[in-house]
Amino acid sequence: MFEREPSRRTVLGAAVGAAGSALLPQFAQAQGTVRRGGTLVVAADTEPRNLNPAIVASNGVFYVASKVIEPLAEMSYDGSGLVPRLATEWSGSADGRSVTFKLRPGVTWHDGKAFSSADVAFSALEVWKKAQNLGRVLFKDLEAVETPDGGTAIFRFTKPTPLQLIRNALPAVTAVVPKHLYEGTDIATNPANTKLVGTGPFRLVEHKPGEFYRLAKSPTYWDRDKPYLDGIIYRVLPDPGAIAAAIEADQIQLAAFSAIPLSELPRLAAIKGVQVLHKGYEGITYQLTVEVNHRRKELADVRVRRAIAHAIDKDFVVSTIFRGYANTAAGPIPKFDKQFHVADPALPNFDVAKANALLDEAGYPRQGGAMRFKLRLLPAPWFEQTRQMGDYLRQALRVVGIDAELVNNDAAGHTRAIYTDHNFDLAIGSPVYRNDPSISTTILYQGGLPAGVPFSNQYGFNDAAVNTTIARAAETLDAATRVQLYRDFQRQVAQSQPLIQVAEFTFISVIRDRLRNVANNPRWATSNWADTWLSA
Amino acid sequence: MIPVWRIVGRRLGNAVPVLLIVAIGSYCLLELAPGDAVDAYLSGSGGDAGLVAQLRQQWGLDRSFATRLTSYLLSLLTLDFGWSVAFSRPVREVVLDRMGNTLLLMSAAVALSFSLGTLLGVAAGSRPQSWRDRLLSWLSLALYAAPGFWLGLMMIVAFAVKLSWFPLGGIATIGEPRAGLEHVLDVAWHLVLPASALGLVYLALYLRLMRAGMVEAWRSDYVRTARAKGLTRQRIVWRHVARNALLPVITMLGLQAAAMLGGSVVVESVFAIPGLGRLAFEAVTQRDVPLLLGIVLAGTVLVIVINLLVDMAYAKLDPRVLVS
Amino acid sequence: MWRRFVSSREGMVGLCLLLPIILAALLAPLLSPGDPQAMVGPALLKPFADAAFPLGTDRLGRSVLAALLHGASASLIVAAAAATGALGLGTVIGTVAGFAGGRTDEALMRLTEAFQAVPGFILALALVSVLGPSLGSVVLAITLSSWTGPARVVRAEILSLRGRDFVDAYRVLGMRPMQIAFRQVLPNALPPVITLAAVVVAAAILVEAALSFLGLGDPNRITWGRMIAEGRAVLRTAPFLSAIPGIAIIVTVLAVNLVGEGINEALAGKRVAA
Repeated sequence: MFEREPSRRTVLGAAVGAAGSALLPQFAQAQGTVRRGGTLVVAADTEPRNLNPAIVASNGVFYVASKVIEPLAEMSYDGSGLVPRLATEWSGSADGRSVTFKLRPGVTWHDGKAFSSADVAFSALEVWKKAQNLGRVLFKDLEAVETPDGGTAIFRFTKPTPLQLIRNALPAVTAVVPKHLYEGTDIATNPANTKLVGTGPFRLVEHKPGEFYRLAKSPTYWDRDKPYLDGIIYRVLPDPGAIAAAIEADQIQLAAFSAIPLSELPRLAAIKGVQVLHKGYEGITYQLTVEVNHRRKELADVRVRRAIAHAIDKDFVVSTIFRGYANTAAGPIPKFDKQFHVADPALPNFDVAKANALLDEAGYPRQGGAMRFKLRLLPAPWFEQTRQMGDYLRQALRVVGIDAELVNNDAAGHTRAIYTDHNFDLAIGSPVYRNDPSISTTILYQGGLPAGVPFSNQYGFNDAAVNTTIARAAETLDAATRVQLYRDFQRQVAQSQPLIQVAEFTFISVIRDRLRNVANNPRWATSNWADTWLSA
Repeated sequence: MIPVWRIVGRRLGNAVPVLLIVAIGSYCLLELAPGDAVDAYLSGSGGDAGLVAQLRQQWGLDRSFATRLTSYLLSLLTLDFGWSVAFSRPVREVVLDRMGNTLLLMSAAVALSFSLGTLLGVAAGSRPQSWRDRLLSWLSLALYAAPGFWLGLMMIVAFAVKLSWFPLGGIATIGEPRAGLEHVLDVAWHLVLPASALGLVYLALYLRLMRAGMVEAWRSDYVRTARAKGLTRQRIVWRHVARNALLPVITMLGLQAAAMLGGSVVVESVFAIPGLGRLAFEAVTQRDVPLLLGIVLAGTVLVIVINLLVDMAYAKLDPRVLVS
Repeated sequence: MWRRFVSSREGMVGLCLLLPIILAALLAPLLSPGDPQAMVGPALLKPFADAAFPLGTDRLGRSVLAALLHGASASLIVAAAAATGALGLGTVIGTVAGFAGGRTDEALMRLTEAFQAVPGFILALALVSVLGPSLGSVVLAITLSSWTGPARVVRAEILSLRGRDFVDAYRVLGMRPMQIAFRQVLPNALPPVITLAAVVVAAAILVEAALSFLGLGDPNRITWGRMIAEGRAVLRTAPFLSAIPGIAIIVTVLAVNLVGEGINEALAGKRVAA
């Protein structure tokens, strides 16, 4: 049964990631003995163009492909936060210039060939470093991968790279692909990008575009008694109404990634046999953010930005737009990451009077009730919540005298407008926090980036002090110092609010209670489901 | 009398410049769109500047407009419609995959609206100005005014949710592969609601045609004469009506088919049917230029073929009606 | 002519339905002052539950009644503008084609066939996408996908009128062809086009609704299609959010169609005389 307010907060209150994280309370579920067999049917609401997680490290791809292609390590709620997959041990050198991985023996690819360090070396140098959206940044200093034997891979970097960063990135960035299928080919157009060959517990058997993906149990999986399921079918169901009905009718047993609209959840939770889970996504936290174009004279003034922040009622956003299934944000690093997060008192609270006062002070008075100035507001189209936030922000700004005009684009137009053409004043975005600030967070604040890079600082914001902090932290090897530097970063931006974070949200899974071992790691939906089973 | 093959020849001859105009026009149009396929692709995953440049180059998006247009037109001649960046497959494959479902949906909708419409039209027309006639006329007018997608949504609420008589969407039940008759029935069951949503809107047109035909038949001298000769009332009316209404009905079928392709975009969206309509929408949001052009051209060809068939039917049934 | 219209039952019923809708659209700012998109109440309130919100509220707490009234003006403005554009463009092209004849006619006919062969809604979809969703782009999209009907009708009329004596007379008098076409011949060709106007307006309302439904409407305005789209997410728990605007669309389009029938009957007499 779905638990109301207090438990949700507790569930989200755990930290994930690096050493020192608190443990998450186990979700109380009658376990029973594992039953082998059965086919799990789940809803897929998108069909990614490229199914290879080594090239496209994104949730839509992982959802299907992570059952077939495995990373070096996976996230976990317990202990150090990581569990071994294809790598069994990892350690860093003192000078930060190399990381040594010990690899798992006895692993075979789905086509029968043996897995070895050569595959890891190839994947790292030819795929992650050259072609992967996240890997290109993370591994840009990777110069070589030594393979003294089939079970060891030593990554050599030209510049000191913090082990903490590599560890945090392992689950999302290190999907290993078979060298023997990719070597010498054009990686981008290799047919193995859609006919996946991996080491995972399931094999991709069939993909009928527009209809389904079918996965079947791999008999040669290295964890001998797993997977428990015989197969998984992903039904392509882009319509949220159809997904809700399918869950009710037990035609599917899982709807992940909040595929079912939040407003349907209370009704579904009350149905016997259906459970709503707000758990298992802590490793994929999204931040609802107001992006600001500092090239606009009004918005370059910190008083105006703080006024906008004061005009936003974050509690209203969480309770109405997210129906309570989110947390208010307090800065660029999400609250649940207890290791890095620090809440600075300089963060603006909801105070309309203060907003008005700041705008007056900045020199934009309301002449007899007229609007102070006009802005163009571009909400990202890819989440319902970002679009609704656009509607809400327009109203909230009108209240303090700013006339915001909504401009709707589809995904391509929006990406082009914000990140290449800079043709916006305010925008609503949803950057992902990937368990380490340097993976996809600081790039939103770092100055001097070329135009055309999506989800980076295209806002015209360039602060020397912030740039220095970010650069130093990226090179610091000592974990404690690194944490300190990222806390400094948060304090630096709390006052100046170059971006305004409003809410932090993860996703909701709706399941039939026959499905067991659900949400047992922080990125469960994008992990390999080897231990998932269906009761009778 | 103009021979049929001349008609066909002339129509096909006209089709070529038409298709050319459509192809060039669509290509130019989509060039104007803000953001290209790389922008659409990266909005899902992000990437650095190098990756952006790499993808642009891989997908040929860094060449000049004139180069790209010319190479596209040339490849059309070999029936190569290009590569869909959204689906990572040849456009021809993607379009052909989905076309079947749309044709199925359209045929079902046409069949439904035609059969139900003519039946109700006959019922209305056989007793003009009666309660039945008035009710049916108003009902048909209301249906004609309804947006297809709204009808679809209301049907989902009534028949799929509240009554659970029909599935909520899709073209077939997934998981268990069915064969033969079972599969046909399964698909038919899935098509009932979407075909109704798409077709009911045009029901009014057939209803009014048939009704007008019936009313006119009552009044005509021909019928009176035939009655005098002793033939049964029903038979006379039917034959007369059928003959007169046939041509307008065929015209209507042709017009309806063209409109339905556009209407299928929303109905397929509402019912999650993997067809050309929804594919068109997906192509627009992904800025997949070759795919959208492939669909536009496929749709245009479809309309041209249907018009051709209508003209040929005309030629066979009533050569006098044929005007150049 | 007005008398004939009044005697047409369909026309009168249509007018009786349409006038209140137009009035509501014009008076929306008075009947429901303020911004219809303002979040004024608790979310998902059912209709008739609270006197302050007679038709309930939507997912963000906006009043359904306010949205309905303001949406009426958006729908009607778009429809009127698009119909005017389509009729205007179609008339011009049809007149030029019909009167000029020869190569010009052939070229324009190919152009017309091209626009007619592309499924209209898909053309509108692509256009709105390219130009970005706004009232202007929706109007343009509908115009470009509906002008072919009027163009054909006008051309046919012009062709049949072209050979008449009065045209020759003007030519003898030295009037330029285009002047004859637009000043003298076209006015006689207009009646069937006017009948078509109602059809075009009705179609425009439906296309605008469909575009808004797919998320391609102007985001700064509430339209009925957008209301249906937003109601879709809560279709099972609050179907009234999608049902109410849909009924509004049906009534409006029905009214327009009926008025069109009335006009048809009114003009039918006139045409025979000409």
